[in-house]
Amino acid sequence: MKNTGRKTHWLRTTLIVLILCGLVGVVIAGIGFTKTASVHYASSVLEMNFSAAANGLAPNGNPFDIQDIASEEVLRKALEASSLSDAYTPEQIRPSLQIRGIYPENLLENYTKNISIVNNTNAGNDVLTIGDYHPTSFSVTLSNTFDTSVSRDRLTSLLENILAAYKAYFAQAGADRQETGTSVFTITDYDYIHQLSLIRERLTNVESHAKEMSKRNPDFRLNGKGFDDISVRTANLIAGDLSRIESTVTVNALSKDKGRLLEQYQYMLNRQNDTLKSKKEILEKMDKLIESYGKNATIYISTSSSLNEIRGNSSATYDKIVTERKKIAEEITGIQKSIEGYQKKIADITGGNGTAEQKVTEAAGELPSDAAAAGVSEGEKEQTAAQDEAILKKVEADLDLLISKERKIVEDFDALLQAENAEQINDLTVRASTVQYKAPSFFSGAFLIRVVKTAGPFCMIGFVVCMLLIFISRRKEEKSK
Amino acid sequence: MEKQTERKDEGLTLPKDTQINLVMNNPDPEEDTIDLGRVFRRFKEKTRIFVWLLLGCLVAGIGAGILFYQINKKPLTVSSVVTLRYYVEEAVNEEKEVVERHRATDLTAPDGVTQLDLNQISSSYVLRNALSNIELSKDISLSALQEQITIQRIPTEESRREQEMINSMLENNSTAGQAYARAQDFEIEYGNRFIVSLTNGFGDEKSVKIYLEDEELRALLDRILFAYNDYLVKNYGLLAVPSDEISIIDINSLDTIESLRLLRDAMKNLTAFCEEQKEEIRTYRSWKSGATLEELERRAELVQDVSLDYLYTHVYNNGLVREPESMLTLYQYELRNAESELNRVNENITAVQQILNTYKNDEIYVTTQESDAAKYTNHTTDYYNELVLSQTENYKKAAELKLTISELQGLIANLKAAGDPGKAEDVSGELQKVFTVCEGIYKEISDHIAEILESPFYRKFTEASVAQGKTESFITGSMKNMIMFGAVGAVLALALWFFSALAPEFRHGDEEEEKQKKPEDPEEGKGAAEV
Repeated sequence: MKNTGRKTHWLRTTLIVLILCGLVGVVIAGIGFTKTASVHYASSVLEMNFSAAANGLAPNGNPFDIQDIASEEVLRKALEASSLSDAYTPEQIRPSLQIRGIYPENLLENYTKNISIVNNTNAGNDVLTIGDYHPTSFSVTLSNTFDTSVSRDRLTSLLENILAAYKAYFAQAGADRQETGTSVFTITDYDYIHQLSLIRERLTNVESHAKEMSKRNPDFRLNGKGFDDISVRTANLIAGDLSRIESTVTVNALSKDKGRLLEQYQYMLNRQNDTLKSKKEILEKMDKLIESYGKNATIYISTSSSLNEIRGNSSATYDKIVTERKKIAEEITGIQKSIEGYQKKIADITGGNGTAEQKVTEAAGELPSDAAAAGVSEGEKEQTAAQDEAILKKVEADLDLLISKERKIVEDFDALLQAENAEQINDLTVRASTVQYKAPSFFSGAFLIRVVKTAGPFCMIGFVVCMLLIFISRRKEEKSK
Repeated sequence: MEKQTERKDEGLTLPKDTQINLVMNNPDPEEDTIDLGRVFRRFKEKTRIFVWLLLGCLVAGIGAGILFYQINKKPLTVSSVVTLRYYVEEAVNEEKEVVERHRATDLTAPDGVTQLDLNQISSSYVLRNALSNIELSKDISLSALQEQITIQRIPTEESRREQEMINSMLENNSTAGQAYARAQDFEIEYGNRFIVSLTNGFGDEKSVKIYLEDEELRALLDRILFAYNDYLVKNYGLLAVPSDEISIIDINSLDTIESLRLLRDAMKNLTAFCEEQKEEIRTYRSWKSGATLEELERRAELVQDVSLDYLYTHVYNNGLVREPESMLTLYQYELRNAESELNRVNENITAVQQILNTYKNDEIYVTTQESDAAKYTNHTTDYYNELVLSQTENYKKAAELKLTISELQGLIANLKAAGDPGKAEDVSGELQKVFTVCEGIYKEISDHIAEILESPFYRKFTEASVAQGKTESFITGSMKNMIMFGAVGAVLALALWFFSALAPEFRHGDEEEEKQKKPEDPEEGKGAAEV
């Protein structure tokens, strides 16, 4: 009976010691935990669900950077949406935002292993691919380090708004957009020939963009039409309607102000002539320079074991001069072509008579010239004027038609692009998981780990002490027996 | 004799009921052996104690294992693989005339000439920028951070093979000589990737080390690599928004021709800026405007043609200026300067030509042992080559000046012939329109460039895989130690149990010995005899 009572006493004492040690550990862990772990997090996982993401590209083919989540624009919009614009700035939020790609866990391990393997002269054929790996899932974490007093709801909603703002930003930055054209031109302000140049420039841009889109997405169709159809339509419009109007305008010298047009052509012609003259002078001098520049002979000395080459360093300089000469010669060809073009344009305006200077004067003053008109009857004059009027009206009507056709193509292209964007960028393209809130509570795993780490050693020491005491007392007991 | 024997016998006779105690000097040989039955009995008797002991030893062992792990835990190292993504130019031919642009395949810097200095990753500039973009729970000094960063370059496949070959040749005695000769010329080439690692535990050995959370450590490495990328962009990124030469033109205070000439220069510079950009910049399609730089350049040229030149030629031909006399003076002055500049260039051309005509280049004579005849070749000196190239530049400069002079002469002639200065006001409205158009074009181009500068397409010089590496969980990490120490504890418990059962056997033997020794004690022997 006495023995059983003693055992119970030992057990009770051990238990009390253990509980006391545990309590001390928990208290210490609790103090440490509250003092150090005051950082709260809101986190989410962002998934990029489109094929180009695996290559680090947005749906429009431009590279995307996930760090744009922390960009000024996104953070500003998120703060506005959270009504926190007055409280915080994007600069304050940015350091608390962490965006990290999610990689396969052993990717780097495998990579470094491969390196060490090949360094150790074993498997040299391992393909190292990590540099080409682009994550498609990203963890986004917002901590409260920018303001430790921020509430759970605010932190969570701020991250939600950041993700929403990024999705909106991505929908724009990752989408294809049609070149809107400059708003600085008012096409009707210009002379007919200039109007046609402006339209040509716009159509050329549409054509090249449509070709680019067709190359990237050849199978995309909207109502049976694809990007290729747009480029064909545009090319046809340029080759057909535009060229036809251009020829009518040029051949009939149709202009809102012939004098000014002639002035411009004449000025350009003179300028090109001057340039041609100076270029020809340079060419002549360059030829002389090339002729006088002696290229060095190259000597090869052959021995039984090697072939040695001895040469001067003249080749590089000689080649540079020759390249320069070739460039000037090409420029001259271009200038000559341009001169020819201006001469033709001037001839079209003036009807091909008189010297260029005379023609400018005539055109600037009275067209057609009094001298030329002297032999023309009033009736013929009226007839010509009526004909001119009719052509002009037709050209203006054709121009309007051309512009409307251009608009239609632009609209169709825009519709195609929008449909393509809608197909590629929708709610599923960039998807964010529900925002999780992580706070260091006393019920969290982090605290439990801390308790185990802190209280564990205390309990262990207490237990060991108890065991020792039991042994000693048992020993004494046995001795006393 | 018989009586004596009887007496003796009488003397030995004990009285009735007297006990006889026999003391054996030689104990039974059985007493030296261990009674296994007894030992097993004791094992059985002490089972409960053994269970407690085993439990205690196991707990102590596991605890010791955890403590050992905590004390000897290795600090975490996180690593990231960085890939270079920028383009470099490489000369295709020896003369470096034809250059090809391609993505960096080795550690050549974006300038295409120097080698990339990877130590910049741990430079104060990069680290300071990295730390300013992250909130850490503990303050870390730059020097402490610098010490924890390691960079590992990765040799190319060819270099590795060459290295392997040299190593295998070195192992073979017959080829060792060749291997040494080969090793002397061998230079390891590195690929366009490298690994950057950051190890936890900041501070020198004397001070208490600072440890960051795993997540913080990974985030810090990420920020360091971002900062390094920004450093590269800042140092090697040659793109910049074109300077605004248009908005500074005050068309209200300047005369018409002056404004137009300045506008023409500005537009010329703007198109030249677009033209000199690299292919990938020119073809980048903006997600904001949908345009490429090529398209914007074409538009700028068109503006120049249909708007600016159209008005300029009109003003130029008719001398439409508000203050003809003042303009006349100005352009006469400019003409005089241009003419004197042309004279200077022409003099330069003549002087250089004279030098070229009389300049003696180096002559090289080559003789060989096999032949007595010497071969001869010239060697043009660098100075001579420079002179030749400067002469071509002089020709171009002279041509440009001639064009300027002809333009100014025409303008002066037109200004002299000009009539009513009031006509200049007629074109002021058109000038305003042209100015607005040019300004609009400049804005489109500068916005486009600004977008490129901000886009990942341009600012990603390097691409880093996310920092990897994590501490094993507390349980997983210390599991090995726990098992090891727990096993030691269990063995100890078993040993104690065994000895606790075995020890009494030895103690029993000792007691017997003591008992045997007791009669030898004079006091005790006396007592016993008395008994």
